[in-house]
Amino acid sequence: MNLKNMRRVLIVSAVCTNLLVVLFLISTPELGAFLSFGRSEPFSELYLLNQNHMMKGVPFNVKSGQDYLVYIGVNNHLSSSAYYEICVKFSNEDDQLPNTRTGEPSPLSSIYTQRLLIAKEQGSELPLTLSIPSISFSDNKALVNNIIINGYDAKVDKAATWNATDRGFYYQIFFELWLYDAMSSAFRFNNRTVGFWFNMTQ
Amino acid sequence: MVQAEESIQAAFKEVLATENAGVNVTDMLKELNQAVNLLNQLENSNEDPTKASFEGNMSQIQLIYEHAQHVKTAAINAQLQESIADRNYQLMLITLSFISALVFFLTLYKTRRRLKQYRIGTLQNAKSKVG
Repeated sequence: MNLKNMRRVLIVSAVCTNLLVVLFLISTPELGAFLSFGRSEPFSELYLLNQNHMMKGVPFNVKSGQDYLVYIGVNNHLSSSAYYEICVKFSNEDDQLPNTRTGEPSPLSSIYTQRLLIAKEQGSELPLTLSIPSISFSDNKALVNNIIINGYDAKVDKAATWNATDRGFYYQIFFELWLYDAMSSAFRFNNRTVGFWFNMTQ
Repeated sequence: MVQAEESIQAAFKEVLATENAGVNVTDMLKELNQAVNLLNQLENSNEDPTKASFEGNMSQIQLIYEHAQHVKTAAINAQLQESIADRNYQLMLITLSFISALVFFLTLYKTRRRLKQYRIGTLQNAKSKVG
């Protein structure tokens, strides 16, 4: 073996060792997580679609006894699987709505809840069939006694006064997204809310 | 009902830990979602608690509990398997690194030795030429 060959062997063995060290470092999962750059902030997404899976055209002039179909969707962009709770709430114009500035949910109680588990970077869309079986009008007030959501009868007994400006009896159905916190073993409001106002007609 | 919900939460915590260990938890989530759907049905149902519905609810709660327990056990087993596989993997990496380091130093030693012998030979040749 001459000097040239020996130098070659030396260089090749040094390169091989370096490659092995690099492979070892790359294959370590903790280091891989540490070295991942440009990761966006984790968040959850809540959206509402009409019966045709469109954003516009959710029910507005609602009649009693008629079924209305909407889809509520949740996408999980968190770093792990998530356990969500969608709270469906029913309000009139005077009720307190969720405050996304302060992260406070509405104090109204849920009329329907739907919990679901979603894997990370996955989503789910839930169909919700809503109908108001009967409504009573007296003077300048409308009274909704119950709402049927996906076949479940929820008692609401909610009155709305006549809105002279927008000419209607306005109610809102809104959805709050709550996220299960494994540390505190409780659901917490995730500051995501969607909903739609509608005019109750006869 | 509270116990059913708690069993789902406990199972979910184990699923999260399993996921953090790097295991695919899709099937576990699918099964746990079945339990969650049963719980949704129970919570949203406002039927009168007659004897028949009470028995129905009890069997549903039992089903939720069974699903949750099954997922929890599967998650714990997966965590154990993953930790064993992880330990074996680390051991293999350490062994490989040790072997490669040994090979490198042996090669280095041999090369240096041969280089030294080559230089001695060259010097001896030069010396004999001068002599």
